[in-house]
Amino acid sequence: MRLPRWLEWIAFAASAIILLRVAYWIGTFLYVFGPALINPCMIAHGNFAKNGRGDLVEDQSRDCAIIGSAAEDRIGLSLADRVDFIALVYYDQGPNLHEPGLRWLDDDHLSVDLGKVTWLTPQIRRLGRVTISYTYSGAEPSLE
Amino acid sequence: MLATAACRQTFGKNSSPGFQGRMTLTERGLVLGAGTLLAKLDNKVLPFEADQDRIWTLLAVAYGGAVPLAVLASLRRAAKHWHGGDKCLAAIHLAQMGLPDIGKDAAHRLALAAELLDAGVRPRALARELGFDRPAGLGKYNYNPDEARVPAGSGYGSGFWTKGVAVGPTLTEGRSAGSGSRRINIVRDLPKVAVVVTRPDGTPIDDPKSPTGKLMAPPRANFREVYAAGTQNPTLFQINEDVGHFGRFDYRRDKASDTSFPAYKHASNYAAGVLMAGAGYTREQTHDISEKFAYLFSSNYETDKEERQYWTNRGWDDAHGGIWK
Repeated sequence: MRLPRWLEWIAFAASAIILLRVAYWIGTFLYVFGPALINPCMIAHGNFAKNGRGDLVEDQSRDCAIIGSAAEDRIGLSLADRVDFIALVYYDQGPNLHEPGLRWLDDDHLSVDLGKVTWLTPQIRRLGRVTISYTYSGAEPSLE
Repeated sequence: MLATAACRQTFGKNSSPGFQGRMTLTERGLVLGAGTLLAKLDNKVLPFEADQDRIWTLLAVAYGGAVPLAVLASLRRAAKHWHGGDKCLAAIHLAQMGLPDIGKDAAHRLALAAELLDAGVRPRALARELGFDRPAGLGKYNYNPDEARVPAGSGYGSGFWTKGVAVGPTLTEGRSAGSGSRRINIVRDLPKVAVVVTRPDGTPIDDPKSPTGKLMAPPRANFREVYAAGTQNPTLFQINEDVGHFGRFDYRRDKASDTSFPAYKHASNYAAGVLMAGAGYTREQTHDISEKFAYLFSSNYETDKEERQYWTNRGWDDAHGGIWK
């Protein structure tokens, strides 16, 4: 049985309204949170040091919170022949806020002074040709 | 200071004809006063990363006091437009900095300071000697590893921005990656302008993980305003604008200077709790929104979780209890 033409129009209009409303909410959600979903973490950059070969070590803070702040502090090392930063160690300074000391002893030896920390992970001590030494106090390496 | 003959000779050596009362970009570089060069154009690009200490110190000498860091950001924008051939826009950026014209005496001081720096005196040492407090972010302001640089070990100019192919690593993670994205700097020390958050009855909020033992926030922090914004029935978009990254109540990050202040992390989470309580979200809903996202992407979720939850919940509890109404 064929529906009357006016009923078809009403059904079409109702469907269109529902679709537009859904599209509006999806659009709003993607507009607000799209960048966060595609690229969810914000990286802030602190002090840095570069050796003669172009290897770059940098204090970084990676924050993946959608509201407020859920930052994790780390030391990143990027070798001259690589693209990415490798996290050497994650750490938390607690109330002892200060810049970590980053110093190249020579092109192959890097010194990282984290100072007083309340938490830190085990550290990467060798990456490519670079050997890394760490100085810190206040906590033992932990993954917890 | 008495102008000796030697000083006048120096002044003449550092100067060129044509007095500039305000900063001007010329083919030589950034010029102020009697032609004193604040930063030269290196391959038609101002090497701000390497020269920002010099520029800031010379400006402080010329204007007789510390100049805001935002001036460097304006200079960088002006230089980019100049480099891109849009000299009018560059001039507008220079004019909009709002710095007053300098007089002959200031130009004289400036030329002498430039001579000292050219002779090898470090800008920091000169600034310290003259009693200028360097801003916390100076020295890393707008450093951008994505931008092309002269390779290290190339003598004078190593690490300067260049027009050539980028040398060295590029960030490929996070929002700082890629061209055109913003560079966010960290200031780890507790800023001097930080204030203790006090409740309306004047009592401070304790924070054992703060260097002061109290919850610290930037001077702009106003939790009554945060709560009021929550009561305006905000949409998802508005919540993100308020307590999302670089939101107006995201006290950890300062949008104007693209700076992240770890010392304000707890204030940022506290504000998120206050706003969500004002907006009528339950404690559980607030927890779900703030935690589930972090769970997906944060690698030290378990480490940071309790602290983040504590401050978001505390903000929610205080606001729900009517403290910030």
